[in-house]
This record gives sequence, C-alpha cells and structure tokens, in this order.
Amino acid sequence: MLSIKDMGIRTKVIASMFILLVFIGLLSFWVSYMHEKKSLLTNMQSNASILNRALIISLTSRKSIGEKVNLQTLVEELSLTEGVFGVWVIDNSGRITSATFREQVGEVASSRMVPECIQKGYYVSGFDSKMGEEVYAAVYPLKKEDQILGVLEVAFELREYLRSTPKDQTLLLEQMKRDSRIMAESLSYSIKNMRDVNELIHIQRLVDRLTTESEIISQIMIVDDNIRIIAANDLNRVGMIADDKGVRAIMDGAGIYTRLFPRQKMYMVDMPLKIGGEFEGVVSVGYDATDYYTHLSEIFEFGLLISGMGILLGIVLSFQVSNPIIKPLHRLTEVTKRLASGDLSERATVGSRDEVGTLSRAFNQMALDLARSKDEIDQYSKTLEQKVRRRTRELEISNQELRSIQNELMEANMVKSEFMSIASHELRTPLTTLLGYSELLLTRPLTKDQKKEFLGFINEESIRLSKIVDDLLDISRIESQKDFGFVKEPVQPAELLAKNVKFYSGADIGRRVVTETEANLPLVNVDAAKIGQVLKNLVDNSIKYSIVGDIVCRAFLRLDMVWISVQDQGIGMSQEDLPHIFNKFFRVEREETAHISGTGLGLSIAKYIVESHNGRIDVESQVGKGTTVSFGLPIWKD
Amino acid sequence: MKKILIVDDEDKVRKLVEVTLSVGKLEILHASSGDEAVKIAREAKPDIILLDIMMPGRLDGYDVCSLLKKDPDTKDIYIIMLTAKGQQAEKERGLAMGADEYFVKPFSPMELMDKIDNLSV
Repeated sequence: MLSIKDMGIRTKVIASMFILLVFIGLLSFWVSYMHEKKSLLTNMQSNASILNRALIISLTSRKSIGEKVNLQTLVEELSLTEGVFGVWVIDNSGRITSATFREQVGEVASSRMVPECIQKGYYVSGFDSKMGEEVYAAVYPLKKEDQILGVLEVAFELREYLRSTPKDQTLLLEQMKRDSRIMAESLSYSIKNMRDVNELIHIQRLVDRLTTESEIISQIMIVDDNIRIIAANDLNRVGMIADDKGVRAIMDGAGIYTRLFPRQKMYMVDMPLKIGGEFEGVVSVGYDATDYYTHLSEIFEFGLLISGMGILLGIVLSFQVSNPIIKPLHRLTEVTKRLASGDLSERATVGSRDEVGTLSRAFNQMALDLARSKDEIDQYSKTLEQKVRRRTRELEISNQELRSIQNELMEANMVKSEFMSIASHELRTPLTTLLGYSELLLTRPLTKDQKKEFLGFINEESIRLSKIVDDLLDISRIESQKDFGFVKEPVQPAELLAKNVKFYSGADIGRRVVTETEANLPLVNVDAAKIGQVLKNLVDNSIKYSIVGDIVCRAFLRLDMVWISVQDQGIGMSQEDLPHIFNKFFRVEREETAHISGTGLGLSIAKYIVESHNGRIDVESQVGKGTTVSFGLPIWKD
Repeated sequence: MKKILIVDDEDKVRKLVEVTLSVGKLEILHASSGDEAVKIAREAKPDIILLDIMMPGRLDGYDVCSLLKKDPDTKDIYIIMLTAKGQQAEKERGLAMGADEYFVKPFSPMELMDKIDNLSV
C-alpha cells in the first residue's frame, strides 16, 4: 500500500496545499452561509413581528375578546334559570361559540335543529336528547340586517313533564314552547345588542381572509387566556386547546417567540395579545418561509459554486506555487543521480535565494570538491604509477647489477676453480718429474750419464716449481690486499735494466736480449728488486711467446716518467685478447701457446707492482708481428 | 709383446714413463698431442694407452679417450689416464669417457710398472 511517506515531495506539497485550500474554502463558505442565514432570519423576524403587531392592533381595536367573555358569562347566568338544562350560542358554521358546558365551546353543535335553523332562518323547536337526557330544545336564529350570524339554542328539562299525566303534558309542552320562544327571543335581542356574535364572527372572518388573501401568511391561530383556540384558519381546530411550545412560552411571559418549521417551510411567530395592559391571549401567525429556504438554497448553491471554483483555482495555484519549489529539487535529484553515476561535471542550477538555492550552492560546492579530490586522487595515482614504474626500473637496474655482480662472482669463482685446476696441474707436472726421476735414481741401476741427465731434469723442475710457488704467493698477497713491503729508493734506470737483462745473456735462448738507454735519465723512486721482477717477467714472456728476433729493452723519458719497454717479434696478441691480459689467471688460448706453461699471473702481478709505485703499464701488440709492453715509473724527488 | 702408447706433451714425463717401463718386454710408442695419439692408436693398435689430459692442440685427453672408445677398432684398447688433474670431478669425467684406469700425477714409477705388469691384456 502506498503511504504518504512514500509519495513524492510534489504530491505531498500539492496535497497539503489542496487540503488547506479546501479547508479555507469550506470555512469561508460556512461563515458566509451562517451569516446570510442569520440576516435572512432577522429580516423575516422583523417583518413577521411587524405583521403580528398589526394583526394584534386590528384585533384589539374591535374589543371583541372582552365582549366574547361577557357572552360566555351571560350564557352561564341564563343556565341558572329554573327548568333550563343548558344554553348554547352557535355561529353560522354550526360551531359552538359559548355554552353552559364550557368544554363544548368550539365543537360543532350536535342538534339536528341547528343546521335547519341556520339554513331556513326561522325558529325551530322540539324534543331532543342532550348528554343522555331527554330535553325540549328551542333553536332561534340570530339575525342582523337579515344575515344569519348564528343561532341560539336553549334546552329545558323534561323530568316534571314526563312525570305528569298526558293532559298535563300537553299543557306543560305549550308552556315550554312559549317560555322558550320568549327566552330565545329576549336573549337574541340582548346578544344582538351586545354585538358579540357579530364581532366573533368578524375575528374568524378576518382570520379566514388573512390566510386566503395574504401570500405570506399560511397559518393564523388566536388563543384566549385559557389557551383555547378562538379563531384559526383551520376551523377544525377552533375551540381546541393550543398546547404548543410557542403558546406556552408566551403564557410564561415571553414577549415574542419564533420557530422555523423546515418541512412546512413556515416561520412561526407567537406574540401576546394584550388589551390595555391586560393579558387576553396569544396571537400565533405562521408565515410562508419558502422565500427564505429558496434564498438559503441559492446561497448554498452559490457558495458551493464559489468553493468549487476556489478549489479549482487552488489546484492550479498549488501547481504554480509548488513548481518553483519542486523543479530545483527535481533538478537537484537528477544531478545527484548523474553525479552518483560518475559524471562529476554535472552542476545544479542556482535559481533562488531560498533553502533550495542554498542547498544547490552547497551541492555544487560539494560536486566541485568531489571533482577536485578525484582529480587529486587521479593525479596522485598517476604519480604513484610513475613512482612505481621508476622504482620498478630502479629495481630492474639494481637486479641487473646484482645479476651482473652475481655473474662476475660466478665467473670469478669459475676462474678461481679453473686456476686451482691449472695451479694443481702446474704444480703436479714438475712434481711428477721430481718424484719420478728421484725414484728412478734411487731404485734403478743407472749409468753416469743417465744420472746426470735425470739430476738436470730434477734441477730444472725444482726451479720451475720455485717460480710457480713465488707467483702463487705474490698473487695470494695481492688477493689479500697485503702490502708487499716495498722499499723505495732512488735507482738509476740504466743500472736497473743492465742488472736484470744480464741474467739472460748467459742463458741459451738462441736470441739476443739487447738494451737501449737514453742518456741523462733521472733517478726513479722504486723498489729495485720488485721492478726487476716485473722486468724479468716481461722478458720471460717475450722469450716464451717468440721464436726468433731480438728482444729489445728500452729506457726513456716521456712526460714526467721514465719508461721501460720490452719489445719482441713473437706471435703477438689479438685486439680481443689485449684488454684481458692484465686480468688474473688470463692466458691466451691458441694452438701455438698450448704447450707454453704458465699460471696466467705474471702480467697481473706486474701491473699491480707498477701501479703500486704510482706508475702505469701499457701494451701494444699485433698478431704475428710481436708485442711491446711498457711501464712508466715516477721520478725520484729530493 | 705388449704395445704401449705414451701420450704426453711433456718430454720429461714421456721419458720418465719410458725409462720406468724399459725393464719389461714392451714396445713403447710416443705421442705429444691428441691428434697424434689418435693417429698412432688407429695405425699401431696398442694394447695400452697411457693418456695425459691437458695437452696442446685440437684434442685433449678426454676427446682422445672418447673417440677411441667409440671406434669399434680401438674400443678394446686399455686406456689408463695419467694426468695432473687430480680432482674427483675430473676423475669421474675421465671414467665416464671410457677410461679403464685413472692415475694421478705425480705417480710412483714402481706402482705404474706393477700395474702394467699385472694387466692381462
């Protein structure tokens, strides 16, 4: 079920405005209707009371009521006459106006002689029965200027007559006829003089005429001080007791009493009838209130029409009024939805300065902030991405570095184990000779020449072994970064050269080792023994890797260093091998070099020693042409 | 008479082996490189080869051993590795190439002689 809560704001606003407008419309309608009704009623009341007053004045001017009372008194007095059973005054409509028995006033006379008398206009008498008693009744017409106003009926008791003899009865009857006629005539005369009946008839006639002729009077009732109806437009009601609210209110002393009878469309006004300040009765007039009700319904219909139009106008107005409230809210809702779906460029329109406007502005600010923070986040994530990429790159680089270090390490390890293998081989080869030949010398019977030859082998291999051990020790020192313990001193380069090359001149190498020294070379600051080792190493290499040609050792000054070079005309080295020749354990692997033993440590050791003297070592070589290795040494300074 | 081929680039070592074995009735052949060893082995069909590993030239001792053991003509030659390569891995590699015996330098001439004498080839 749809509850009010679930309705849209538009529906709520329109509904509440609609309800408010309907309420206001109905209220104003009700107020104006009541006001109209009251003014109509007041108007009618004032009209009616004026009419009533006029009627009362007309009634009292005839003084009929007072005389009517005298007539009753007269009737009652006559009734006291001996032999009279009762007296009745009856109007020309056969209704009892006054009677011995007061309760009978207003009734239609029961005697069959009364209509006859009214109709024929002459005296009628005869036996009759009244209230269960046999009477002799005489009816006498009351005429004025030949117009029958009513009749007078007198009834005599028949008790004495009935007890009498038939003879006496005739006499008595005659007497009764005579007496009654006399009585009736005299009474009618007196009544005629009193003009009572005449006046009474006039009241009734006035009532009749007023009700038939007046359009606005629909009912008139005149009541005496005993609340008996004296005159009424409805003749059936004359003589009856008027026991209604209005009459009783007036009897209780009210000046005026009004009532509305919606069903009969009648307005009833009751007012007291006073003659000379004496309360005489009540005048009750019913006015026709058709106009009033017609007016009222017209007002009601008009009011309904106005209210309906008001409601229609209200609906239109509530739409008109609600639009400026609803539209921005609608737009805001739309924008919010779009914003929520990710379109951060959406903005609400700020049309008014009211709460909705403020909300829209705040919303726009929020959207702006949102967009800005999203930008920031995007920017940040971009920066982050870049950072991550850069870090990744750095990591990759350092990984690469690590890998290359690892490779270097692995290479170094491989080189080392290869070195171990080589070293082991190089050590075992002379040892094989030493062990083998010494065992042969000890166990075999050998010739003198054989012994000499074998001892020569042992000596050669011992020297070789000693050199290998020296190299290994040197490289071990270099490896463990230990100082060689250089003892530097000023040395003459020429002397250095001559001293070390002299060693080869005696050896049978099949080639010459020559020296060329520049004149006036300065002293160098070196450890003569170590530099000598370097020089011998280079000359050894030259001898090992060359077959023919002189080996030339030079000493010369270039720039601020004294250079010593060893040049051969040997197998030379390729350009690919050159950068590696100073590396530890490196050996050029070529067919021509395979039978040449070595540890691959000589040049490495040489380079270390030269550089430890703050010198430099260089190599130039060409395959098949030869190799020149030069090293520069620092000049001695005092 | 047993035919023995000595393969070594060192003259002194070849001479040592030759002198060591000279007391027995043996025919001694020499080779100073891998290529030479293969050539002589195929021509002379020795009973025993004493084979060095580290030698100059295209073929080293491993290559020679592998080649000869694959060749049906030479696969029955008893090959004794006589080498300065004394590490376990190197020895395993030699045996994997088909070597029948592995002697590490320096060696005792007496032991080598006993070994050769006791071989039933």
